[in-house]
Amino acid sequence: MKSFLQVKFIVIITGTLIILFPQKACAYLDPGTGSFVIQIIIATLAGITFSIKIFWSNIKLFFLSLFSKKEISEIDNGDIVNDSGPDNNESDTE
Amino acid sequence: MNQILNSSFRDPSGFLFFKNNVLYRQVNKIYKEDYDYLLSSGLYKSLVDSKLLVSHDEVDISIAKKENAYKVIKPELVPFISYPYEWCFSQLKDAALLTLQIQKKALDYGMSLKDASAYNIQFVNGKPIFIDTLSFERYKENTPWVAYRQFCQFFYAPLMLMTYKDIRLSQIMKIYIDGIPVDLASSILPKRTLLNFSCLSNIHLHSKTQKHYENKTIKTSSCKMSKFKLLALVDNLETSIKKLKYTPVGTEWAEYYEITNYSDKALIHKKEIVTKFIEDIKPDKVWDLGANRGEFSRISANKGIFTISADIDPASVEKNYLECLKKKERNILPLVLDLTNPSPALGWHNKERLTFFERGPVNTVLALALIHHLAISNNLPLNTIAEFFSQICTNLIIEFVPKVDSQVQKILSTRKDIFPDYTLACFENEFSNYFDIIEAKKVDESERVLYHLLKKE
Repeated sequence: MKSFLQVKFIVIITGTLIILFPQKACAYLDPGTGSFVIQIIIATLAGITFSIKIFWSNIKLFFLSLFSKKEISEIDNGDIVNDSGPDNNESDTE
Repeated sequence: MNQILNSSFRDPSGFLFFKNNVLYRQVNKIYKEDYDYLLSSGLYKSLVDSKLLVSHDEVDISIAKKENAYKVIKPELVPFISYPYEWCFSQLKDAALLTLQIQKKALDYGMSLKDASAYNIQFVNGKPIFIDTLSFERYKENTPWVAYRQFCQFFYAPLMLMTYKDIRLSQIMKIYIDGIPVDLASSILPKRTLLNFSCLSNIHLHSKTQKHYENKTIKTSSCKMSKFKLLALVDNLETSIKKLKYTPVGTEWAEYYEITNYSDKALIHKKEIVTKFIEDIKPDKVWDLGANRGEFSRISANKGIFTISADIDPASVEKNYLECLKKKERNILPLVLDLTNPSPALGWHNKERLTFFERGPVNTVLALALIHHLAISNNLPLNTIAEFFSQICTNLIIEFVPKVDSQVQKILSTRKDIFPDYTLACFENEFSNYFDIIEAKKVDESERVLYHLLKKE
Protein backbone atom coordinates (compact mmCIF):
# COMPACT_ATOMS: atom_id res chain seq x y z
CA MET A 1 0.00 0.00 0.00
CA LYS A 2 2.80 2.34 0.98
CA SER A 3 4.62 1.61 -2.25
CA PHE A 4 1.47 2.16 -4.31
CA LEU A 5 1.03 5.59 -2.71
CA GLN A 6 4.66 6.41 -3.43
CA VAL A 7 4.19 5.51 -7.11
CA LYS A 8 0.98 7.54 -7.32
CA PHE A 9 2.65 10.53 -5.67
CA ILE A 10 5.61 10.42 -8.05
CA VAL A 11 3.44 10.02 -11.12
CA ILE A 12 1.38 13.09 -10.11
CA ILE A 13 4.49 15.18 -9.48
CA THR A 14 6.11 14.03 -12.71
CA GLY A 15 3.00 14.97 -14.65
CA THR A 16 2.82 18.36 -12.97
CA LEU A 17 6.44 19.17 -13.69
CA ILE A 18 6.19 18.02 -17.29
CA ILE A 19 3.34 20.48 -17.74
CA LEU A 20 5.22 23.23 -15.88
CA PHE A 21 8.40 22.98 -17.92
CA PRO A 22 8.00 24.64 -21.32
CA GLN A 23 9.06 22.30 -24.08
CA LYS A 24 10.14 24.88 -26.61
CA ALA A 25 12.81 27.25 -25.54
CA CYS A 26 15.76 29.34 -26.55
CA ALA A 27 18.45 27.23 -24.90
CA TYR A 28 19.23 23.66 -25.61
CA LEU A 29 20.44 21.18 -23.03
CA ASP A 30 22.18 18.01 -24.11
CA PRO A 31 20.42 14.62 -23.88
CA GLY A 32 20.73 15.02 -20.15
CA THR A 33 17.62 17.23 -20.17
CA GLY A 34 15.43 14.45 -18.82
CA SER A 35 18.08 13.68 -16.22
CA PHE A 36 18.03 17.32 -15.09
CA VAL A 37 14.26 17.26 -14.71
CA ILE A 38 14.04 13.93 -12.88
CA GLN A 39 16.80 14.84 -10.45
CA ILE A 40 14.86 17.97 -9.44
CA ILE A 41 11.81 15.80 -8.76
CA ILE A 42 13.79 13.22 -6.82
CA ALA A 43 15.69 15.91 -4.91
CA THR A 44 12.41 17.60 -3.98
CA LEU A 45 10.98 14.36 -2.59
CA ALA A 46 14.26 13.32 -1.02
CA GLY A 47 14.47 16.77 0.54
CA ILE A 48 11.46 15.92 2.70
CA THR A 49 13.04 12.79 4.16
CA PHE A 50 16.40 14.54 4.38
CA SER A 51 14.82 17.33 6.46
CA ILE A 52 13.27 14.73 8.77
CA LYS A 53 16.60 12.92 9.08
CA ILE A 54 18.40 16.13 10.03
CA PHE A 55 15.60 17.08 12.44
CA TRP A 56 15.80 13.72 14.25
CA SER A 57 19.55 13.71 14.33
CA ASN A 58 19.49 17.16 15.89
CA ILE A 59 16.94 16.00 18.49
CA LYS A 60 19.12 12.97 19.21
CA LEU A 61 22.17 15.20 19.45
CA PHE A 62 20.40 17.52 21.85
CA PHE A 63 19.37 14.72 24.23
CA LEU A 64 22.74 13.04 24.03
CA SER A 65 24.43 16.34 24.79
CA LEU A 66 22.57 16.33 28.09
CA PHE A 67 24.24 13.06 29.09
CA SER A 68 27.59 12.53 27.45
CA LYS A 69 30.16 14.63 25.66
CA LYS A 70 31.75 11.49 24.21
CA GLU A 71 28.60 10.32 22.48
CA ILE A 72 28.16 13.72 20.88
CA SER A 73 31.53 13.46 19.23
CA GLU A 74 30.54 10.02 17.90
CA ILE A 75 27.39 11.41 16.33
CA ASP A 76 29.35 14.40 15.06
CA ASN A 77 31.33 12.00 12.90
CA GLY A 78 28.13 10.59 11.39
CA ASP A 79 26.82 11.21 7.91
CA ILE A 80 24.14 13.78 8.46
CA VAL A 81 25.66 16.28 10.79
CA ASN A 82 29.19 15.74 9.62
CA ASP A 83 30.26 19.06 8.16
CA SER A 84 33.96 19.15 7.63
CA GLY A 85 33.69 22.31 5.61
CA PRO A 86 36.18 25.15 5.38
CA ASP A 87 35.61 26.21 8.97
CA ASN A 88 36.09 22.74 10.32
CA ASN A 89 39.66 21.56 10.17
CA GLU A 90 38.94 18.04 11.36
CA SER A 91 39.78 15.45 8.78
CA ASP A 92 37.31 12.64 8.29
CA THR A 93 39.87 10.02 7.46
CA GLU A 94 38.42 6.52 7.43
CA MET B 1 57.78 7.97 -24.24
CA ASN B 2 56.53 11.48 -24.90
CA GLN B 3 52.83 11.53 -25.61
CA ILE B 4 49.36 12.65 -24.58
CA LEU B 5 47.28 9.85 -23.07
CA ASN B 6 44.51 8.73 -25.41
CA SER B 7 42.05 8.52 -22.52
CA SER B 8 42.47 12.20 -21.75
CA PHE B 9 40.71 14.14 -24.49
CA ARG B 10 37.14 14.61 -23.25
CA ASP B 11 37.63 17.36 -20.69
CA PRO B 12 38.94 20.69 -22.07
CA SER B 13 40.24 21.55 -18.58
CA GLY B 14 43.46 19.65 -19.20
CA PHE B 15 45.03 16.35 -20.11
CA LEU B 16 47.58 13.77 -19.04
CA PHE B 17 50.84 13.27 -20.85
CA PHE B 18 54.12 11.42 -20.47
CA LYS B 19 57.47 13.13 -20.76
CA ASN B 20 60.63 11.08 -20.30
CA ASN B 21 58.49 8.30 -18.83
CA VAL B 22 57.09 10.60 -16.13
CA LEU B 23 53.33 11.22 -15.98
CA TYR B 24 52.17 14.85 -15.88
CA ARG B 25 48.82 16.59 -16.10
CA GLN B 26 48.54 19.89 -17.95
CA VAL B 27 45.98 22.30 -16.51
CA ASN B 28 44.67 24.53 -19.27
CA LYS B 29 44.02 28.26 -18.91
CA ILE B 30 40.28 27.63 -19.30
CA TYR B 31 40.35 25.80 -15.94
CA LYS B 32 42.43 28.47 -14.13
CA GLU B 33 39.65 29.87 -11.90
CA ASP B 34 38.41 26.43 -10.80
CA TYR B 35 41.93 25.09 -10.22
CA ASP B 36 42.88 28.10 -8.10
CA TYR B 37 39.64 27.79 -6.13
CA LEU B 38 40.19 24.06 -5.56
CA LEU B 39 43.48 24.88 -3.85
CA SER B 40 42.60 28.19 -2.15
CA SER B 41 39.29 26.92 -0.73
CA GLY B 42 41.09 24.16 1.17
CA LEU B 43 39.12 21.43 -0.64
CA TYR B 44 42.22 19.94 -2.26
CA LYS B 45 44.05 19.74 1.08
CA SER B 46 41.03 18.30 2.84
CA LEU B 47 40.54 15.59 0.17
CA VAL B 48 44.24 14.70 0.02
CA ASP B 49 44.57 14.63 3.82
CA SER B 50 41.58 12.29 3.94
CA LYS B 51 43.18 10.12 1.21
CA LEU B 52 40.17 10.63 -1.04
CA LEU B 53 42.07 12.35 -3.88
CA VAL B 54 45.53 11.69 -5.28
CA SER B 55 48.06 14.36 -4.35
CA HIS B 56 50.14 16.24 -6.88
CA ASP B 57 53.11 18.57 -7.11
CA GLU B 58 53.20 21.63 -9.33
CA VAL B 59 56.20 21.51 -11.65
CA ASP B 60 57.88 23.92 -14.07
CA ILE B 61 55.38 25.06 -16.71
CA SER B 62 58.06 24.92 -19.39
CA ILE B 63 57.41 21.20 -19.87
CA ALA B 64 53.79 21.89 -20.91
CA LYS B 65 52.68 20.12 -24.08
CA LYS B 66 50.44 22.86 -25.45
CA GLU B 67 50.41 26.66 -25.41
CA ASN B 68 47.19 27.05 -23.46
CA ALA B 69 48.79 25.71 -20.27
CA TYR B 70 48.12 27.39 -16.96
CA LYS B 71 49.96 24.87 -14.79
CA VAL B 72 51.63 21.49 -15.09
CA ILE B 73 51.21 19.09 -12.20
CA LYS B 74 52.82 15.76 -11.43
CA PRO B 75 50.20 13.47 -9.85
CA GLU B 76 50.88 10.68 -7.39
CA LEU B 77 51.19 7.44 -9.37
CA VAL B 78 48.70 4.61 -9.24
CA PRO B 79 50.33 1.13 -9.32
CA PHE B 80 47.84 -0.32 -11.80
CA ILE B 81 44.98 1.29 -13.73
CA SER B 82 41.90 -0.93 -13.44
CA TYR B 83 38.51 -0.39 -15.06
CA PRO B 84 35.01 -0.67 -13.59
CA TYR B 85 34.15 -3.84 -15.54
CA GLU B 86 37.11 -5.47 -13.79
CA TRP B 87 35.78 -4.66 -10.32
CA CYS B 88 33.66 -6.88 -8.13
CA PHE B 89 30.39 -5.70 -6.60
CA SER B 90 31.86 -4.19 -3.43
CA GLN B 91 34.63 -2.43 -5.33
CA LEU B 92 32.05 -0.70 -7.53
CA LYS B 93 29.91 0.07 -4.48
CA ASP B 94 32.88 1.57 -2.61
CA ALA B 95 33.80 3.60 -5.69
CA ALA B 96 30.21 4.91 -5.88
CA LEU B 97 30.19 5.86 -2.20
CA LEU B 98 33.56 7.57 -2.56
CA THR B 99 32.21 9.66 -5.45
CA LEU B 100 29.23 10.74 -3.33
CA GLN B 101 31.44 11.44 -0.30
CA ILE B 102 33.65 13.65 -2.47
CA GLN B 103 30.61 15.44 -3.91
CA LYS B 104 29.34 16.20 -0.39
CA LYS B 105 32.72 17.49 0.67
CA ALA B 106 33.06 19.53 -2.52
CA LEU B 107 29.69 21.17 -1.83
CA ASP B 108 30.87 22.02 1.68
CA TYR B 109 33.70 23.98 0.11
CA GLY B 110 31.59 25.64 -2.59
CA MET B 111 32.54 23.27 -5.40
CA SER B 112 30.83 20.40 -7.21
CA LEU B 113 31.91 17.40 -9.28
CA LYS B 114 31.41 18.18 -12.96
CA ASP B 115 31.71 14.53 -13.88
CA ALA B 116 31.15 11.25 -12.09
CA SER B 117 32.93 8.73 -14.27
CA ALA B 118 33.93 5.45 -12.66
CA TYR B 119 37.20 5.76 -14.61
CA ASN B 120 38.08 8.61 -12.23
CA ILE B 121 38.40 6.10 -9.40
CA GLN B 122 41.33 3.76 -8.86
CA PHE B 123 42.32 1.39 -6.08
CA VAL B 124 45.47 2.32 -4.17
CA ASN B 125 46.62 0.68 -0.94
CA GLY B 126 43.45 -1.41 -0.85
CA LYS B 127 41.07 1.54 -1.03
CA PRO B 128 39.39 3.54 -3.78
CA ILE B 129 40.78 6.99 -4.49
CA PHE B 130 39.74 9.78 -6.87
CA ILE B 131 42.39 10.47 -9.51
CA ASP B 132 41.01 13.33 -11.63
CA THR B 133 42.12 16.61 -10.04
CA LEU B 134 40.33 18.59 -12.75
CA SER B 135 36.83 17.19 -12.07
CA PHE B 136 35.86 20.01 -9.71
CA GLU B 137 34.08 23.22 -10.64
CA ARG B 138 32.83 26.09 -8.52
CA TYR B 139 29.27 25.40 -7.44
CA LYS B 140 26.69 27.71 -9.00
CA GLU B 141 23.72 28.36 -6.74
CA ASN B 142 20.45 26.69 -7.69
CA THR B 143 21.92 24.47 -10.37
CA PRO B 144 21.26 20.72 -10.56
CA TRP B 145 24.16 18.26 -10.50
CA VAL B 146 25.48 18.06 -14.06
CA ALA B 147 27.05 14.68 -13.34
CA TYR B 148 23.86 13.06 -12.01
CA ARG B 149 23.12 11.16 -15.24
CA GLN B 150 26.71 9.98 -15.45
CA PHE B 151 26.62 8.83 -11.83
CA CYS B 152 23.49 6.78 -12.52
CA GLN B 153 25.06 5.24 -15.62
CA PHE B 154 28.42 4.43 -14.09
CA PHE B 155 27.39 3.40 -10.60
CA TYR B 156 23.70 3.28 -9.78
CA ALA B 157 22.49 1.29 -12.81
CA PRO B 158 25.25 -1.38 -12.72
CA LEU B 159 24.91 -1.81 -8.95
CA MET B 160 21.14 -2.25 -9.27
CA LEU B 161 21.58 -4.76 -12.11
CA MET B 162 24.19 -6.70 -10.15
CA THR B 163 22.01 -6.74 -7.04
CA TYR B 164 18.57 -7.41 -8.47
CA LYS B 165 19.31 -9.31 -11.70
CA ASP B 166 22.72 -10.92 -12.13
CA ILE B 167 26.15 -10.22 -10.71
CA ARG B 168 27.71 -10.66 -14.17
CA LEU B 169 25.85 -7.68 -15.65
CA SER B 170 28.67 -5.29 -14.71
CA GLN B 171 30.23 -6.56 -17.93
CA ILE B 172 27.75 -4.43 -19.92
CA MET B 173 30.10 -1.55 -19.09
CA LYS B 174 32.48 -3.02 -21.65
CA ILE B 175 29.92 -2.15 -24.32
CA TYR B 176 28.99 1.33 -23.07
CA ILE B 177 32.06 3.50 -22.53
CA ASP B 178 29.99 6.13 -20.68
CA GLY B 179 28.21 3.73 -18.35
CA ILE B 180 25.04 1.66 -18.68
CA PRO B 181 22.15 3.71 -20.14
CA VAL B 182 19.31 3.97 -17.62
CA ASP B 183 16.70 2.91 -20.19
CA LEU B 184 18.61 -0.33 -20.74
CA ALA B 185 18.89 -0.89 -16.99
CA SER B 186 15.17 -0.14 -16.64
CA SER B 187 14.28 -2.73 -19.27
CA ILE B 188 16.44 -5.44 -17.68
CA LEU B 189 15.61 -4.89 -14.01
CA PRO B 190 12.82 -7.04 -12.59
CA LYS B 191 9.37 -5.55 -11.94
CA ARG B 192 9.83 -5.76 -8.17
CA THR B 193 12.34 -2.89 -8.37
CA LEU B 194 9.37 -0.62 -9.16
CA LEU B 195 8.49 -0.98 -5.48
CA ASN B 196 11.86 0.39 -4.41
CA PHE B 197 11.49 4.19 -4.30
CA SER B 198 15.12 4.94 -5.07
CA CYS B 199 15.34 2.47 -7.97
CA LEU B 200 11.92 3.53 -9.24
CA SER B 201 12.95 7.16 -9.39
CA ASN B 202 16.66 6.99 -10.29
CA ILE B 203 16.24 4.28 -12.95
CA HIS B 204 12.67 3.69 -14.13
CA LEU B 205 11.25 7.23 -13.95
CA HIS B 206 14.64 8.61 -14.96
CA SER B 207 14.42 6.50 -18.11
CA LYS B 208 10.83 7.63 -18.82
CA THR B 209 11.75 11.27 -18.31
CA GLN B 210 14.74 10.95 -20.62
CA LYS B 211 12.47 9.46 -23.25
CA HIS B 212 9.92 12.24 -22.76
CA TYR B 213 12.51 14.98 -23.21
CA GLU B 214 14.26 13.29 -26.11
CA ASN B 215 14.50 15.78 -28.98
CA LYS B 216 12.87 18.48 -26.85
CA THR B 217 14.48 21.65 -25.58
CA ILE B 218 13.78 23.47 -22.34
CA LYS B 219 14.95 26.69 -20.77
CA THR B 220 18.11 26.16 -18.79
CA SER B 221 16.78 28.63 -16.25
CA SER B 222 13.81 26.32 -15.64
CA CYS B 223 16.12 23.74 -14.09
CA LYS B 224 16.67 25.17 -10.63
CA MET B 225 17.56 23.19 -7.58
CA SER B 226 18.71 24.47 -4.20
CA LYS B 227 21.90 23.27 -2.55
CA PHE B 228 19.80 21.64 0.16
CA LYS B 229 17.95 19.60 -2.46
CA LEU B 230 21.22 18.68 -4.10
CA LEU B 231 22.49 17.40 -0.75
CA ALA B 232 19.20 15.52 -0.33
CA LEU B 233 19.68 13.90 -3.75
CA VAL B 234 23.21 12.83 -2.82
CA ASP B 235 21.93 11.52 0.53
CA ASN B 236 19.17 9.59 -1.26
CA LEU B 237 21.69 7.94 -3.60
CA GLU B 238 24.08 7.23 -0.75
CA THR B 239 21.43 5.68 1.50
CA SER B 240 20.14 3.53 -1.34
CA ILE B 241 23.60 2.31 -2.38
CA LYS B 242 24.68 1.57 1.20
CA LYS B 243 21.71 -0.79 1.54
CA LEU B 244 22.73 -2.89 -1.48
CA LYS B 245 24.07 -6.31 -0.56
CA TYR B 246 25.57 -9.16 -2.52
CA THR B 247 26.34 -12.51 -0.94
CA PRO B 248 29.11 -14.22 -2.91
CA VAL B 249 27.99 -17.85 -2.76
CA GLY B 250 26.86 -20.55 -5.11
CA THR B 251 29.48 -20.36 -7.83
CA GLU B 252 31.83 -23.27 -8.42
CA TRP B 253 34.97 -21.23 -7.84
CA ALA B 254 33.89 -19.32 -4.75
CA GLU B 255 33.88 -22.65 -2.91
CA TYR B 256 36.95 -23.99 -4.73
CA TYR B 257 39.16 -24.35 -1.67
CA GLU B 258 36.45 -26.29 0.12
CA ILE B 259 35.97 -28.79 -2.70
CA THR B 260 39.52 -29.10 -3.96
CA ASN B 261 41.35 -32.42 -3.94
CA TYR B 262 44.42 -31.13 -2.12
CA SER B 263 45.53 -32.77 1.07
CA ASP B 264 46.61 -30.39 3.78
CA LYS B 265 50.19 -31.47 3.29
CA ALA B 266 50.04 -30.84 -0.47
CA LEU B 267 48.61 -27.35 0.07
CA ILE B 268 51.30 -26.48 2.61
CA HIS B 269 54.03 -27.83 0.35
CA LYS B 270 52.66 -25.94 -2.64
CA LYS B 271 52.73 -22.72 -0.61
CA GLU B 272 56.32 -23.41 0.44
CA ILE B 273 57.41 -23.92 -3.17
CA VAL B 274 55.67 -20.74 -4.37
CA THR B 275 57.19 -18.81 -1.46
CA LYS B 276 60.67 -20.04 -2.38
CA PHE B 277 60.23 -19.13 -6.04
CA ILE B 278 58.99 -15.65 -5.12
CA GLU B 279 61.94 -15.19 -2.74
CA ASP B 280 64.34 -16.28 -5.49
CA ILE B 281 62.85 -13.89 -8.05
CA LYS B 282 62.27 -10.87 -5.73
CA PRO B 283 59.78 -9.27 -8.15
CA ASP B 284 58.50 -5.70 -7.84
CA LYS B 285 55.03 -6.68 -9.09
CA VAL B 286 53.15 -9.96 -9.42
CA TRP B 287 50.04 -10.89 -11.38
CA ASP B 288 48.28 -13.97 -10.02
CA LEU B 289 46.07 -15.14 -12.90
CA GLY B 290 43.28 -17.53 -11.98
CA ALA B 291 43.79 -16.46 -8.37
CA ASN B 292 40.40 -17.61 -7.04
CA ARG B 293 40.14 -15.98 -3.58
CA GLY B 294 43.80 -14.95 -3.62
CA GLU B 295 45.26 -17.47 -1.20
CA PHE B 296 48.53 -17.65 -3.16
CA SER B 297 48.45 -13.93 -4.11
CA ARG B 298 48.96 -13.24 -0.42
CA ILE B 299 52.34 -14.95 -0.46
CA SER B 300 53.77 -12.10 -2.54
CA ALA B 301 51.44 -9.39 -1.18
CA ASN B 302 52.47 -10.17 2.40
CA LYS B 303 56.07 -9.58 1.36
CA GLY B 304 55.15 -6.01 0.36
CA ILE B 305 54.98 -6.84 -3.37
CA PHE B 306 52.10 -5.23 -5.26
CA THR B 307 50.00 -8.16 -6.48
CA ILE B 308 47.07 -8.29 -8.85
CA SER B 309 44.81 -11.16 -7.92
CA ALA B 310 42.65 -11.81 -10.98
CA ASP B 311 39.93 -14.38 -11.48
CA ILE B 312 37.03 -15.01 -13.85
CA ASP B 313 34.53 -15.55 -11.04
CA PRO B 314 32.96 -12.37 -9.58
CA ALA B 315 31.99 -14.23 -6.39
CA SER B 316 35.58 -15.30 -5.73
CA VAL B 317 36.84 -11.78 -6.44
CA GLU B 318 34.20 -10.39 -4.08
CA LYS B 319 35.39 -12.74 -1.30
CA ASN B 320 38.97 -11.77 -2.05
CA TYR B 321 38.19 -8.02 -1.84
CA LEU B 322 36.19 -8.42 1.37
CA GLU B 323 39.14 -10.25 2.91
CA CYS B 324 41.45 -7.41 1.82
CA LEU B 325 39.16 -4.94 3.57
CA LYS B 326 38.87 -7.08 6.67
CA LYS B 327 42.62 -7.53 7.01
CA LYS B 328 43.41 -3.99 5.77
CA GLU B 329 45.69 -5.44 3.10
CA ARG B 330 47.39 -2.73 1.04
CA ASN B 331 49.36 -4.65 -1.58
CA ILE B 332 46.70 -6.75 -3.23
CA LEU B 333 44.25 -5.73 -5.95
CA PRO B 334 41.53 -8.31 -6.71
CA LEU B 335 40.10 -7.99 -10.23
CA VAL B 336 37.58 -9.83 -12.39
CA LEU B 337 39.30 -11.13 -15.51
CA ASP B 338 38.38 -13.84 -17.99
CA LEU B 339 41.78 -14.94 -19.22
CA THR B 340 40.26 -16.56 -22.31
CA ASN B 341 38.52 -13.29 -23.20
CA PRO B 342 40.44 -10.55 -21.38
CA SER B 343 39.51 -6.86 -21.17
CA PRO B 344 39.75 -5.44 -24.70
CA ALA B 345 40.84 -2.04 -25.97
CA LEU B 346 37.81 0.26 -25.88
CA GLY B 347 36.57 3.72 -26.78
CA TRP B 348 37.59 6.15 -29.47
CA HIS B 349 40.09 4.66 -31.92
CA ASN B 350 40.17 1.65 -29.56
CA LYS B 351 42.69 3.63 -27.53
CA GLU B 352 40.74 5.20 -24.64
CA ARG B 353 40.85 2.10 -22.47
CA LEU B 354 43.74 -0.30 -22.76
CA THR B 355 43.60 -4.05 -22.94
CA PHE B 356 44.49 -5.79 -19.70
CA PHE B 357 47.89 -6.85 -20.99
CA GLU B 358 48.76 -3.44 -22.46
CA ARG B 359 48.80 -2.35 -18.83
CA GLY B 360 51.74 -4.68 -18.28
CA PRO B 361 54.19 -6.21 -18.74
CA VAL B 362 54.83 -7.54 -15.28
CA ASN B 363 57.92 -9.13 -13.83
CA THR B 364 56.27 -12.26 -12.45
CA VAL B 365 53.09 -14.15 -13.25
CA LEU B 366 51.59 -16.87 -11.07
CA ALA B 367 49.57 -19.42 -13.06
CA LEU B 368 48.57 -21.99 -10.46
CA ALA B 369 45.99 -24.68 -11.16
CA LEU B 370 45.23 -22.84 -14.38
CA ILE B 371 46.78 -24.64 -17.33
CA HIS B 372 44.22 -27.46 -17.50
CA HIS B 373 41.43 -24.89 -17.78
CA LEU B 374 43.22 -23.19 -20.68
CA ALA B 375 44.40 -26.35 -22.45
CA ILE B 376 41.44 -28.67 -21.89
CA SER B 377 38.37 -26.57 -21.02
CA ASN B 378 39.29 -23.97 -23.63
CA ASN B 379 41.07 -26.23 -26.19
CA LEU B 380 44.16 -24.01 -26.28
CA PRO B 381 47.29 -25.73 -27.65
CA LEU B 382 50.22 -25.74 -25.18
CA ASN B 383 52.49 -23.81 -27.57
CA THR B 384 49.92 -20.99 -27.75
CA ILE B 385 49.74 -20.84 -23.97
CA ALA B 386 53.54 -20.74 -23.68
CA GLU B 387 53.77 -17.96 -26.27
CA PHE B 388 51.08 -15.96 -24.46
CA PHE B 389 52.87 -16.08 -21.10
CA SER B 390 56.20 -15.19 -22.73
CA GLN B 391 54.59 -11.96 -23.98
CA ILE B 392 53.31 -10.78 -20.62
CA CYS B 393 56.05 -11.63 -18.10
CA THR B 394 59.71 -12.38 -17.50
CA ASN B 395 59.32 -14.93 -14.71
CA LEU B 396 56.55 -17.49 -14.75
CA ILE B 397 55.57 -19.64 -11.80
CA ILE B 398 53.30 -22.23 -13.35
CA GLU B 399 51.73 -25.43 -12.11
CA PHE B 400 51.31 -28.39 -14.43
CA VAL B 401 48.20 -30.37 -13.55
CA PRO B 402 48.43 -33.83 -15.20
CA LYS B 403 45.53 -35.82 -16.64
CA VAL B 404 45.50 -38.20 -13.68
CA ASP B 405 44.59 -35.31 -11.37
CA SER B 406 40.98 -35.49 -10.23
CA GLN B 407 40.31 -31.90 -11.34
CA VAL B 408 41.34 -32.78 -14.91
CA GLN B 409 39.39 -36.03 -14.74
CA LYS B 410 36.34 -34.01 -13.74
CA ILE B 411 36.70 -31.77 -16.80
CA LEU B 412 37.23 -34.79 -19.07
CA SER B 413 34.33 -36.73 -17.60
CA THR B 414 31.81 -34.89 -19.78
CA ARG B 415 33.80 -34.69 -23.00
CA LYS B 416 35.97 -36.71 -25.33
CA ASP B 417 39.70 -36.66 -24.59
CA ILE B 418 41.13 -35.02 -27.70
CA PHE B 419 44.28 -33.91 -25.95
CA PRO B 420 46.97 -36.56 -26.54
CA ASP B 421 49.67 -33.89 -26.26
CA TYR B 422 48.59 -32.78 -22.81
CA THR B 423 51.53 -34.44 -21.02
CA LEU B 424 54.34 -33.26 -18.79
CA ALA B 425 56.89 -33.94 -21.53
CA CYS B 426 54.97 -31.91 -24.12
CA PHE B 427 54.43 -29.14 -21.60
CA GLU B 428 58.16 -28.86 -20.89
CA ASN B 429 58.98 -29.10 -24.58
CA GLU B 430 56.57 -26.34 -25.65
CA PHE B 431 57.43 -23.97 -22.80
CA SER B 432 61.16 -24.54 -23.43
CA ASN B 433 60.74 -22.74 -26.75
CA TYR B 434 60.10 -19.51 -24.84
CA PHE B 435 61.44 -20.09 -21.31
CA ASP B 436 64.37 -21.64 -19.48
CA ILE B 437 63.38 -24.01 -16.71
CA ILE B 438 65.06 -22.61 -13.61
CA GLU B 439 63.50 -25.07 -11.19
CA ALA B 440 60.79 -27.73 -11.12
CA LYS B 441 59.35 -29.23 -7.96
CA LYS B 442 56.73 -31.92 -7.55
CA VAL B 443 54.08 -31.12 -4.96
CA ASP B 444 53.97 -33.70 -2.12
CA GLU B 445 50.99 -36.07 -2.08
CA SER B 446 50.05 -34.91 -5.57
CA GLU B 447 51.01 -35.51 -9.18
CA ARG B 448 51.25 -31.80 -9.84
CA VAL B 449 54.56 -30.08 -10.66
CA LEU B 450 55.46 -26.43 -10.03
CA TYR B 451 57.90 -24.67 -12.33
CA HIS B 452 59.88 -21.48 -12.09
CA LEU B 453 60.45 -20.46 -15.71
CA LEU B 454 62.57 -17.55 -16.94
CA LYS B 455 61.88 -15.99 -20.31
CA LYS B 456 64.63 -16.56 -22.85
CA GLU B 457 66.65 -13.53 -23.98
